Amino acid sequence: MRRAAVILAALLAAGCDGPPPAVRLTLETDLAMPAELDEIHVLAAASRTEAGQICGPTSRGFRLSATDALPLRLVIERGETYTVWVWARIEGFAGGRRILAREVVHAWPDEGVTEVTVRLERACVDRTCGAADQCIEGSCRPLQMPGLLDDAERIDADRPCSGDTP
Amino acid sequence: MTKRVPCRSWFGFLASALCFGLPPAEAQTDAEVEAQRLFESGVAASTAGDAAGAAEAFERSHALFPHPGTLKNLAASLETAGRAAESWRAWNELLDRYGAVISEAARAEAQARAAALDQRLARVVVTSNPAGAQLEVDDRPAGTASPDAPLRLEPGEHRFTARLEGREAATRTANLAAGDNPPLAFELPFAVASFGTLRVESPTAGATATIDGGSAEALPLSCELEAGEHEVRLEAPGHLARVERVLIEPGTPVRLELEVETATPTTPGGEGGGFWDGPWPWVIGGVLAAGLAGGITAGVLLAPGEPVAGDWRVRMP
Repeated sequence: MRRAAVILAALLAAGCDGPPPAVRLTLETDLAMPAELDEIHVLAAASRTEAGQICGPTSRGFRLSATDALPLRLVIERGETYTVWVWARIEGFAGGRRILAREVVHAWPDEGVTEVTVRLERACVDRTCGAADQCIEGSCRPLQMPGLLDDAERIDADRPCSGDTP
Repeated sequence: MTKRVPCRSWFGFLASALCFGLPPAEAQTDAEVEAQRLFESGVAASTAGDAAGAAEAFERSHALFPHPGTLKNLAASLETAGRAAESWRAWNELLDRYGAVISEAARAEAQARAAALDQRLARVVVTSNPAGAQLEVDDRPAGTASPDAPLRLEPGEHRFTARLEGREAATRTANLAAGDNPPLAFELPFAVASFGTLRVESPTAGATATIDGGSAEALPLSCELEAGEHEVRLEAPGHLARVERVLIEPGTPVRLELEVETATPTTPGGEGGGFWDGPWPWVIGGVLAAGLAGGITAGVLLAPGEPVAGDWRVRMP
């Protein structure tokens, strides 16, 4: 009986915990779907240091087969280790060709959900910026974490960001 | 002999050049102020007969604030210090960079000095296959290997190293005489150790893989890739594309077996269309529900923990 009470208390405590802090990316576009934008790839990772020491990025592709396929909402939940900031790269494709990309870096909230909207803009289609820049509203602006994936030492290869990533 | 006439003759030129060439002190940047300090230090060293020290000061000054006067003084100091090859390069740099702005007399003198030095130097053409290797002579950078630009070096033994990305570096030693020398040709083989093997497999019928944006290849696929990170994009009819990044290390085979998800649903459109990417929250929920089925209502436990709606959910470690 006493043991059952302990288990019950533990279960109640677990049940009262809210969802983990998260960043929700809402992807929008002014491009026509699927004529001008028919696929999106999202690459996501989180860092355990300010300078950037990330888990092995996880990815997901989305086919945009309907005119109202966007906005798309991506919820990235904070874990126990990579708790400094979250990073995502969103790449837009048309006919298998990458036409634009955006990167966002955002600190985790202490609790609750932080909403981040990313617009995949017509003004940035096929716009070439330098390696340390990205196109936002048609202009090249500095990336917050340039070359994050170019340095293998900044990626914890043995620690994938998603359990289902090999 | 150490107090060279050329050095002294430059001072007047340099003083006037600096007066006109450098901005007033209040407008100078830190680099410009430091350049002027180094320049004055070089003049002092030269006056004291320390040609090597003067050359070092002028070189640092010129790096901070390029100026024909400083470069001219550097060339003269190097010559006084007995570093003929470097002096020849400095005179030629003066002509190349500032030939249009220095006086005719200064230009003629630079040409004469460069020509006189050239007579004492060893000339050697260094080429590489493939072309474009970066050269080092005696462990110091010496530009790009080119059949059109013979290197000028002090006569004697020198160690040449050619480097090109993706190729093995090659090193040779040659004893050079003054004047023209036989050319040095470097063959740079592929750096085998900088490649690794990637094999991509998938149980999904008809799956293809695209590596680094290239053409789609049927699976299984094996290829040699340069060491570093590569992007593998897996596609199959009726399935969602999947993109993975893989790190290739030299000489280490990597095997990537990937499944792709069926493309249903593609992009949920409604508010209630969210789905879970990871199973754990629901597994835990199921355990809770089962454990509490004897008397506790699941709603009491689950209501505070409602997840945020989303079309893709991922939990970071």
